[in-house]
Amino acid sequence: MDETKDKVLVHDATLCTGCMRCMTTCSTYNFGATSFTKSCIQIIRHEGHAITRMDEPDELIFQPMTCQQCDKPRCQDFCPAHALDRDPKTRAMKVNYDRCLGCRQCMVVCPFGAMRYDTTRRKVFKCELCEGDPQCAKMCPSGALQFLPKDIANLPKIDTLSRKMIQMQRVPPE
Amino acid sequence: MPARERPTARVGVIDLATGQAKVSELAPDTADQYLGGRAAGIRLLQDYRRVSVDALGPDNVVLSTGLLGGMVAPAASMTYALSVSPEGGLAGASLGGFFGPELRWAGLDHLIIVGKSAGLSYLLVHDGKIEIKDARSLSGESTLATQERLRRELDDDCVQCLSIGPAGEKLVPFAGVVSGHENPARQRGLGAVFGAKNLKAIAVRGTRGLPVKFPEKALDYNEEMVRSIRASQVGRQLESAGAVYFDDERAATAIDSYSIGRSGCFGCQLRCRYRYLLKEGTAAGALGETVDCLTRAAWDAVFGPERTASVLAAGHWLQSYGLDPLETAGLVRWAMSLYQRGRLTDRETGGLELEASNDAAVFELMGRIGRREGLGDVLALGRARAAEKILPANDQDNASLDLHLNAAQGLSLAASVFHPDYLFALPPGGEDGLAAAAYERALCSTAAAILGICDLQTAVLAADLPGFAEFSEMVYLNTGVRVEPDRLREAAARALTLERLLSQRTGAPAAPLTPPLVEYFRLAGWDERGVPRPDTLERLGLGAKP
Repeated sequence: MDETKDKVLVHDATLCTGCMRCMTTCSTYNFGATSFTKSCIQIIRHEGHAITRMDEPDELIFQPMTCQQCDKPRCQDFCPAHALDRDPKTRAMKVNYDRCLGCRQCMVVCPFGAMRYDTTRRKVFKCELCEGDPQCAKMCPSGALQFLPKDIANLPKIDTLSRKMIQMQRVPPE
Repeated sequence: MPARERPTARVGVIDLATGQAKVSELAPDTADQYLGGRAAGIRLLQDYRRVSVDALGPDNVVLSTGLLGGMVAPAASMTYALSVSPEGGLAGASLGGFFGPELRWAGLDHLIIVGKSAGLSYLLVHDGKIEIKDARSLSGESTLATQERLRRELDDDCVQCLSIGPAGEKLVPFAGVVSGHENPARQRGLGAVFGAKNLKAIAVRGTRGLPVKFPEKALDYNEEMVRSIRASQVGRQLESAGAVYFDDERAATAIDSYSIGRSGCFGCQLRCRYRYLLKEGTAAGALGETVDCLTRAAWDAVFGPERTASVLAAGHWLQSYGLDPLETAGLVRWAMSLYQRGRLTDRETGGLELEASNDAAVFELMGRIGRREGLGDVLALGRARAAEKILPANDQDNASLDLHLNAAQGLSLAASVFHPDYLFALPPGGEDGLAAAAYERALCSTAAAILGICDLQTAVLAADLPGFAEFSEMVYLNTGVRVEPDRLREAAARALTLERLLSQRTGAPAAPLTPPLVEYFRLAGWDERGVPRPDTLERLGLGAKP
């Protein structure tokens, strides 16, 4: 079995501490500079407007957003220049820069907001899984980002949830 | 001899009085001798310091980020804010979070803020552009609400802010500045300096990248550093119990029912703070992040044992008003003891029943200190001057704040110009070699402050953590500039000595002399009263009149 081919980037927002190391790692590895703007993965801090108060604790979360490498990629469907291809080795969707027009249609249709735009090059860019070894997952200190085989991808999440369930069973009813 | 390599940095000088701002390169001799970060900041403070006639005059403020701020290094998140304290001596804060990296992405490494604005204003730094904007509508707002409102006003959640609260605006001499939820550690009145300048906040937004000289090598080296930090004893302790229960890991369970996860600063793997959500009481719905264990212990002493919710709520209010947590804890505890013994009556407290069980009254008193109302206005003068006002001259009252510092902590605090961030995590040292260890820590911490990395994960705390050699390598891989370990050490020694000089020239209160402190002074090349000796000044190139 080709290991990389069946792996997927998994994120567990409950574990993310918002250190943003994945973002600077991504931009450094792919663009040679630390920059949140130039990162393929974006950690959205859902505290922006809510530094002071929140109604629900669940609102306070750092949600990683990145390309899911969809099996039926809408970016590819809508690209007028046929500039998005799947890498046969890593199964990542890659931008063919000889073809990309910079029209940003893919940004419009992507359900995850995973397509990003480089204002210098005037082309889009996206997560291409770092040739099969995603640096963000490698550098994540909290285990919130992992690169796992698809069939066991949600095991860490199940593990977290199972702990919550155990906790719930321990609390006596009021 | 060929010139030594030196880092470059961009300095923004803003005059609040005229509204003018200009950006220039850091002077070559400053970059050469002090390299960057807090060390360069101290030199800039000297260059730009207004000779103050009025203790609460609008003295100048320097904000410095480190050589590696926002780059590929462990927790390269720090910003150092420096000025002269309203109480004499230097005022300084080291803030983690995301402010420093954002400032560097906005194209600036140091900010120097001079003059006083006519009305309450804030500074906006956006991709190299500096503007002074009206903040009158933010008057009296808490530090947290200010940050939130600025993000709304600027319509950008990525804006990072540094702000003062009501206490800073009202010139409370122990007011601090806050960024994000970073707690205002002991800052000796930096917030009041901002207030005196009519500067409510600084908002920054940067979208420029910071080029890394050797990207892949820097990432690999960083990974190696991170792995060793996490495997170390200190790293494991910080990760498991956080800074708040660093002294007693078992107590960490006390926070479980309030915690909604952990939080770290930019690029940090140790996430030393718990995030919490208060469900009840005067601060219900408030969101906060925990303080370090020294501060927690000070508030444990106010409320008594097992009052986690009250201590967390106190953290929220301190943060909101922008008050020094230790100084305020001491004052509140003192007021409570006076009230219990009938020295303060309901008439003087304005009806507040200052009992440990009545946390609403305690929080209201904190608010009154921050807003300078009633008894709060008297307490805001500080312990000594407040005692003159409310106690008869012959009355002795010793209920003070005892931090229960161990020998190593006591020495580090006495020898430092600023409250060291690492203080809470210092293990007790034996009498032997106490001074040498403390001086080595101060040097290493200053070197970390040149890089802009958090000193909790450096050799300041344990020999198996990154030290001068690793710092040197990190600087090289990120910037391409070779700064040998010895040169870092020398720049740190120079900065410590200059800090000392400036602190004395601005009237810092002297710490009581103890044999280890005198030994520390000797190691630093200072005389027995802590005044840098002429030969030391000569050796460090600080000259007769640096």
